[in-house]
Amino acid sequence: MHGIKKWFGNFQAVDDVSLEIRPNEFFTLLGPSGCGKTTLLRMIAGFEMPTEGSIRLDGTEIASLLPNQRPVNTVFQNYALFPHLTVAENIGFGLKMLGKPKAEIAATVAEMLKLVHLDGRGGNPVTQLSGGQQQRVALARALAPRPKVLLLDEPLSALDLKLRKSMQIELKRLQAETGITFVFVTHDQEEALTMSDRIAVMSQGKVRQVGEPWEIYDRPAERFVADFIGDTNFLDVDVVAIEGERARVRLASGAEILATFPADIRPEGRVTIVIRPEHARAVSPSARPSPAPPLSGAVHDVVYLGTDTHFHVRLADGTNFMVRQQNARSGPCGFAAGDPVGIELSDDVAQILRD
Amino acid sequence: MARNAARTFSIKRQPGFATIAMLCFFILYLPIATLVVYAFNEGTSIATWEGLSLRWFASAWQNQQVIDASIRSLQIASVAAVIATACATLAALATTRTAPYRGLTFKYSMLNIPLLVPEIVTAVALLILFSRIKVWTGYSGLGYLITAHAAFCVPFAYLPIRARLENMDLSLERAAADLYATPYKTFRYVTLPLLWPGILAGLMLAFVISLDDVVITEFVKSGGQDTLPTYMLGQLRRVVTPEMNAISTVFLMLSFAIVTVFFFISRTPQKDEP
Repeated sequence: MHGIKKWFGNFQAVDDVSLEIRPNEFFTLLGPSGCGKTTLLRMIAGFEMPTEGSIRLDGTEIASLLPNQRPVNTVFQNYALFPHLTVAENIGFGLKMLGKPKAEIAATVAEMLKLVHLDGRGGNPVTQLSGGQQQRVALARALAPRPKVLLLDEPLSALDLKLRKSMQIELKRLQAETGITFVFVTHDQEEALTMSDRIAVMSQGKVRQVGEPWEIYDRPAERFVADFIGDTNFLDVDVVAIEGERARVRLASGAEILATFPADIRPEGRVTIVIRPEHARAVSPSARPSPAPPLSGAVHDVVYLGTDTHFHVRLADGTNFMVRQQNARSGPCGFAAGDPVGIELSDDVAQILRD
Repeated sequence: MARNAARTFSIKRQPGFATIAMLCFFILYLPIATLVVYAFNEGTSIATWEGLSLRWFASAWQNQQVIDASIRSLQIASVAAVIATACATLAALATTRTAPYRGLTFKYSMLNIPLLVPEIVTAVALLILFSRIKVWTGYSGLGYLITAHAAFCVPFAYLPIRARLENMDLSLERAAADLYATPYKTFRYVTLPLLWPGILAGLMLAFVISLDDVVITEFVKSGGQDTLPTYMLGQLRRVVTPEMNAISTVFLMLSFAIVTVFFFISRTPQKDEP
């Protein structure tokens, strides 16, 4: 899709979005509510028309087609199952509308029921199914006509945590088995990281960054992306030199480290870098490590989480810095509030932000 | 005190509530109960009880005028209810299944205002209009009554249909469109089956309203076109026998049965929620 803009009256929901979604890809639109991700999805489905821009599917312009003319199916947030039809009739609805012969519909429905583990439930009214089962019927219904693209509008948000986890795996499996391109909308960053081949992070109608999950997480290009996904430390630093694809930056402590940066900028002067809490380690200054740790400060808060411990450290210049340490051994976790600590960084963990 | 304050307010616990409620029911149903009781009176009076009998039911059953009026009433009510419901269904679709546009609220009000206009005004208006048409066309059949009934039944039929459409999840129709259903097929396979209880409820409401009508019928009818209510009105001006009570009782039971069915249809829970 190219140059998509969508206005609702005076409100611009989608602002100049251009995306290329590849065949057989699990592509996620991730962002907070109101960021335009659902509007974008609805434009692909055909429930909204873009104010400007084009949407092409395999080279065919589809932006002006009606929903029933597009080889695209949707799994709705509330499932939108037809309450007056049985499970099998729901799943076969799309094929029936396409005018497929009865035998073919029956065969496909049986295959779909098997695919979503609902064998033998075809005759049940959909109203008698549990939330998770309704979810699977909605999936089967959307997959049965074998669309070129399957759109999923926060389909897991109504499920409880355990069911959601198993459905995440289920969705990945279905995508792999059917080879259909999935476009998934969610506000849950963990869900996006777990399931996607690529993610587009959106806010205020704009796409902020597109990339594989690790790129989005480890190489955020903007403050919004870094902040929205996971916990992050922001540090103000000065660029000293560019060394190939890395920049040498000077921390407030005077120590210098290498940082990656987005390919479209050439950092200079004062910039912000992000470092993920698990990429840092707290060390005792009395151990006199060599070389000396680039950052140091005093612990002011310790949060024990079972698998990890979070140390909130106040650096010498007053900035807060969080270190996440895995509790590799049992027992108490090393530092207490008030202890002075040094902070070591793994290699290649700092990323310079565009803004 | 604290314990009392913690309780939620309930009108049931206010002093005198039960008494007043009982009084209201009493006032509402006592006349009807009296009417029904005297339908079974042996004597010819509607005020003095002379013993139990079904003679007035039998007498009504053999009264050709009553039979004619009843048949006419049923004919008018069924045809008018079907026409009114068809119009109301289209109106309800047009006021709920279109993108909001200028004048939508105006149309909605126009549909409902007939409920508030004094019936006598409509009656006089129709009388004048139809008498003109009668002169022009020479036609003087039941068509006028059917048209008039269909017209005033539309807003009644419209209400349950619109309510049903408004409660229906719009994403169902979107899902149908997404699954390759053309707008017509979406209506045929999704909207209409889900709307059916609303349409039936509208049909029954229109039927009962038409069956009951006196004022408009009285003005619009030609000679020999008495419906059951206008026939009864005419009889009351002459001699009053328990035959009237008997007819009313049968009429009451019929309305009661239809309203009961209506209640159960409109109470059927919408199964839209996942």
